[in-house]
Amino acid sequence: MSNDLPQSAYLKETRSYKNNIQVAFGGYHKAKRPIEDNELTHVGPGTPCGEYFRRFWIPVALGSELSDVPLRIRILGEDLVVFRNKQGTLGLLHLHCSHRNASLEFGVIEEQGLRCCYHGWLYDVDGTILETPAQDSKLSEKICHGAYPVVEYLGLIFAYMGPPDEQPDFPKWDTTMLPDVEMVPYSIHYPCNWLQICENTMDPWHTVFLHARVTDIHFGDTWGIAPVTQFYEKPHKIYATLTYRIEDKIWVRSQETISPSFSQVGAWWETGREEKYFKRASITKWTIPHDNENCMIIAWRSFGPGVDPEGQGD
Amino acid sequence: MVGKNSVDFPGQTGQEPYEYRQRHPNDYEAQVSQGSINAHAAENLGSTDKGVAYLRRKLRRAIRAIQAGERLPESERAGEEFLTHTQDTVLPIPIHPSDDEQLLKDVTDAVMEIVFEGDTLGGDERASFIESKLRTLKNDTRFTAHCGDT
Repeated sequence: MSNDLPQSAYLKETRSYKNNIQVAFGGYHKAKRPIEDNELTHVGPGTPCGEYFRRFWIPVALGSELSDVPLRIRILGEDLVVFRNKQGTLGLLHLHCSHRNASLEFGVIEEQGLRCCYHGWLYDVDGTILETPAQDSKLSEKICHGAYPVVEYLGLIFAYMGPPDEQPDFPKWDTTMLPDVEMVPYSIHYPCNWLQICENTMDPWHTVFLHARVTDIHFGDTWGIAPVTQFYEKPHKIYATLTYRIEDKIWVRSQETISPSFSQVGAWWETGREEKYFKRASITKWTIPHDNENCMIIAWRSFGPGVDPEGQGD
Repeated sequence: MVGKNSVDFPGQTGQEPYEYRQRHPNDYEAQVSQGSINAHAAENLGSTDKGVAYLRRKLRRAIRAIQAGERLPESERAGEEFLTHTQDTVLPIPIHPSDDEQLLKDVTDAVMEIVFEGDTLGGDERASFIESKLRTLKNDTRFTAHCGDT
């Protein structure tokens, strides 16, 4: 799958694919699938999109996934291990020990850090090497293991994986601070690229067909009504609106996508039949790449009288 | 019910039997089946796909800005309350006899203008400002002129 071609190659491929002879029973002319747009989809270290993601605080795991053994994860094409030391401090380290590359997923969590199983090197949560037992050199003073800053917030573990001098403050999203709303963390793995999962929120018409007209009604019965859709823009933010005529009511739903891959959506069970004002998100989520071909939605599901008026969520 | 690989609405995890997923496809089926990396070159985007095209354009610009050495704007970096704008508002405004679509567009613009206007405030103050202004729209003559004197 390696085709880190310059953007021009992708555009050339797009043009040639579009220019293929278009005839009925002409599958032969389109049999070869075109390459992907790697500028937007590839996320490993050093890739343009990977660098973009590495400017933001992003959620990487659920707090509930941590236990008394390290948790191995893959984020933006990097293999990592996340753990909570016995003092309760979180650490996020590169997976492979700086000594001889054994995986720290088999390490032992100690008071202050994580000890590699192979030769006992001990790592602090910031990558400092605390011990290199039996080594007669001062190796540990010359090396710092790869580590990232971590914040745990409302049951999600966030990391900043970019250049240290570019690190932004940790944001306090308004919808995480609403009164009477319970934020329940969840994550779902998808065996595909992150962008096609992230795009869904900016595809307002899929709700009409996928969620109402083609097979089943998945959410409210009014979702099959054709909405008027509009878009609004601010720096690093796009808003899609879906506006429905529901008898003598007008239902205006806005949803957003914010850099790098944050989005929110309104109540799943909303039908637009009752007068209401400024009811907030029922899902606050990120689409986070594990690598080019795997990603997760990692999110909070919000429960409360405002976002789930009929109590249908659980 | 809500946790690791689990959420309380259907069709998100691909864990149902294959035949069931074929007969009752949902988000997971549609999105994952686009391919391991969706090949945009084989798509044919149309008028319903403006948001997708828009998102990709904006993403490409943001990616290239980072490549060009730009820093994120200060508004994206400060750890103050980060305002978001996802919301539902349902207004009792009767159908327009000749051009309801235009009415829906105008009402949407008015709703979003109020929602963005609240950006100068924060917390509960913002919410009550936005809510009270939105409440005035149902009596706003710009949107109710077609209703007559009732």
